[in-house]
Amino acid sequence: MATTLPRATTEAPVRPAIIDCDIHNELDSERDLYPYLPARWLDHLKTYGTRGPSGASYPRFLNRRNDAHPPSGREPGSDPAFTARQLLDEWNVAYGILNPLTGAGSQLNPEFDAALATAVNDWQVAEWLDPEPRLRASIILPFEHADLAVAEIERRAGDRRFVQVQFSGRPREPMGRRKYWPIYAACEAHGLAVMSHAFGSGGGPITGCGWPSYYIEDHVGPAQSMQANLISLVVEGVFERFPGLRVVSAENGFGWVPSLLWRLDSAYALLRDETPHLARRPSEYVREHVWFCTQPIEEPERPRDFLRLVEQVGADRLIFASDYAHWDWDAPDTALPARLPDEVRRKIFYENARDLYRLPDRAG
Amino acid sequence: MARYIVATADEIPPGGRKIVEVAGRSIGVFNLGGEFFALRNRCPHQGGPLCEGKTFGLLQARVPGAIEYSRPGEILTCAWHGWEFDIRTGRSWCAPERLRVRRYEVSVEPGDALAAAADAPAPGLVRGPYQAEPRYLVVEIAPERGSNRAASGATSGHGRGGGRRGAFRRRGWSAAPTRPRPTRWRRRAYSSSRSSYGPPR
Repeated sequence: MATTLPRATTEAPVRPAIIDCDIHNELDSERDLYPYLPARWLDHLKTYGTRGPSGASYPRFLNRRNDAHPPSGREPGSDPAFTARQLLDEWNVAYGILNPLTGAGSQLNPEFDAALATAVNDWQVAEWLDPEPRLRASIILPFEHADLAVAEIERRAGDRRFVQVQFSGRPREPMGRRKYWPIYAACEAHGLAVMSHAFGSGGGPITGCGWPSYYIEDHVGPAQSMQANLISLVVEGVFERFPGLRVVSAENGFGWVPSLLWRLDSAYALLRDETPHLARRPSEYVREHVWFCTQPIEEPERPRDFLRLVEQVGADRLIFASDYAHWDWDAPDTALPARLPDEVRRKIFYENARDLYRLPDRAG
Repeated sequence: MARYIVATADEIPPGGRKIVEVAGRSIGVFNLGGEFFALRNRCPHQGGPLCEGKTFGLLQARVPGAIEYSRPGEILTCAWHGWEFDIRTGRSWCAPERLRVRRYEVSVEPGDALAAAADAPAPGLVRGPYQAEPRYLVVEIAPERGSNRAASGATSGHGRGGGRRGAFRRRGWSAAPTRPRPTRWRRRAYSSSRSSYGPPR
């Protein structure tokens, strides 16, 4: 366990390998996508621009670490070589999952949304996945249009470096609704997980009761939207219909999970006949089908409260995420506010994600 | 007490800063209107490069809506998460009693005095490449107690339990104790089978 080393021998040890489940590969500007757009949509982009629901999230949410500006002068997170050096090398990241947040997926023009998503995915392959074997990626989808989304899934499914599809935190309808089922069917068929990444919006506010004033309300708000999505996924019977489906929640917190599941289980006992398609208690579906990224980590004042929380959520449900290079990122060695048993740390930082995404072992 | 010459006084203009490596530490030296302050470039929250963050004034509101903006440029925010620290005291704005960053004394000394001292060095004065003319900034570094720093420098892997530094350690948040000792999770018997929801086991 803890050893005190004499000063003379304080060489940095090799850090244990980790899997980082939320890395943001950014565009320096939308010009980065020009080479990947067909002429018809490049003209459209230049002439009409992009258009999604406006004002849905504070721009502040996209601020980056002050120390993440690459020497190339590009925006933080937009230089693959620098990301490799500052994040993957520094922290011994065996696998890193890319989650670009580009505006693709929220365009109001469906065909343009699909073209933009395809361009983002091609950009990921050419500029991130091909040069860097440690990286994996989320498929960006026009997820509001299931037919177009399924076509994009079919286009990518053969490339195993894509491990999941990405939904925004607030789709136009709660995630369990029927319009999204073809996407889940395709994901189940191809062994892809479904990630709901916080923020982004189909037009709804981040709260269940209207538009708030401050950024801090946005910052803590995704817990609300993810609860709505999770309840919907469970009670619509998505996990009964797609028993192989795996759902990942990113940047939505996890402190709320135990109490939500207590309430859901209690309510199910009273109201079961309304949703007879549910064969089991709601919590059982979550325990089998849903994983929660750690960042931004819950930071209770008393460390023992964090231990209790991990027990309650279940150590097998948590996967480490750094959120590099966003401003509220979590550093792998200092993020957790309490010490966990080594075997639990290994699960959270490596094994859970390896198994969830079915990645070949690289811990040795 | 070792003294290190880290810059010439005119190298850091008012509102400016310089990050220096001294005695194995990264330290930020700040000029607030002609006064100099030095802080450890490591945030006690998660270990981020504190001194590379932006500086702001102090924003307060004694009652909602009555916003007061004072002391422009004297509040340093961490380059990672934006924790606010008072450059003059090193204290965290949100948790001043338990969270502060180490600060170091800075003095402004004329080069000829340093040159004279170099001929008959005061204890700990480090000879620097200085000349008689400009004034220099001298940072004083006390030897650190015990071997905490040495140990923490060698325990940054997550397999050791990870570790928050500074005040978190003093308050028992530590994950990298200097001596082996029972850890909180042992005493509190972490149990992976204690989840209160989910299928019966």
